[in-house]
Amino acid sequence: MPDFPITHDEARRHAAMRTADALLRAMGAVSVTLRLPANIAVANSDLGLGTPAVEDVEIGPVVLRDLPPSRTGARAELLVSAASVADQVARRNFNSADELFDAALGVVRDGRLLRIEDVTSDSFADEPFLFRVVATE
Amino acid sequence: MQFAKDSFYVALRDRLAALNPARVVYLDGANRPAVIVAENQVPGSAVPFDNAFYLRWGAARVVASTQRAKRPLFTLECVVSYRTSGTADNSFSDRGRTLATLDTELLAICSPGATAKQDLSQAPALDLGTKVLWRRPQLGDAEVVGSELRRSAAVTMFFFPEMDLS
Repeated sequence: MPDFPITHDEARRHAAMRTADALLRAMGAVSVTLRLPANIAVANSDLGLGTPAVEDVEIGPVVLRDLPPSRTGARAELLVSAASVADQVARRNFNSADELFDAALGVVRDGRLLRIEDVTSDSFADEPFLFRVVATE
Repeated sequence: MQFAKDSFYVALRDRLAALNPARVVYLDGANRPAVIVAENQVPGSAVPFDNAFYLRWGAARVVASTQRAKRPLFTLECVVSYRTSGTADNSFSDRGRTLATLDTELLAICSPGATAKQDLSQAPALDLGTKVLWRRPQLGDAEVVGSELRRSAAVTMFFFPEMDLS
């Protein structure tokens, strides 16, 4: 929740985010799991020996759509609520949503890790209200 | 072959740490010298680091003159890639100079072109009794990609296998 009183621009940003969230929910949104590297050093991980520690975080509402498969396997498009992304960015001390998605190892779907191939966003009043993430096997 | 790859990587990593302790990347929860073996990283979407040396392995071949030996001499190609955008303090206009610094550091950490071959999968590392040798890096053309300068350098390594090949 924003701190009141809020500026006109801030109000417009929040309105855009809430509208996008409402639209996503109306389209049958679910939650998905974003896999992030945990902030823990693992011995010999630079030699490919130690299994890097990871952390799964849930983000939503998200609308999932299947895309035509790539050569490597299934592809999916995720329309992600910018509010939930902003929440994770703040909680995990990232500077931006780009940093969060760059750091992510992928999206877990049905127990399988899909790599993030592309991330774009739609913005209003200089603030993203929706992220479009393309993930592939 | 894995021991040769690991030994080469660790030699470059430790030499860079001694040469320029400030050249580090934050990876897997720790600051590490900016030498990274691409195939040892979790496959994902992480953007490659600027100002870091990425090692990628290529073809391995037996040196023709040792073809009949029980333990023939192998060559292994390694490509070292690095990129830079320069520094914000200089409005990124120093990317050429930064690339030259990276070139110099690569040449420095590749010299001398030898290190002991070790089994680094155990602690303490086990000395395997032979050496990994390599030629001086051959620096490729500097590529301009957007506002970045990138370069790849080819290094040919030599090593003996760990077992007899009959």
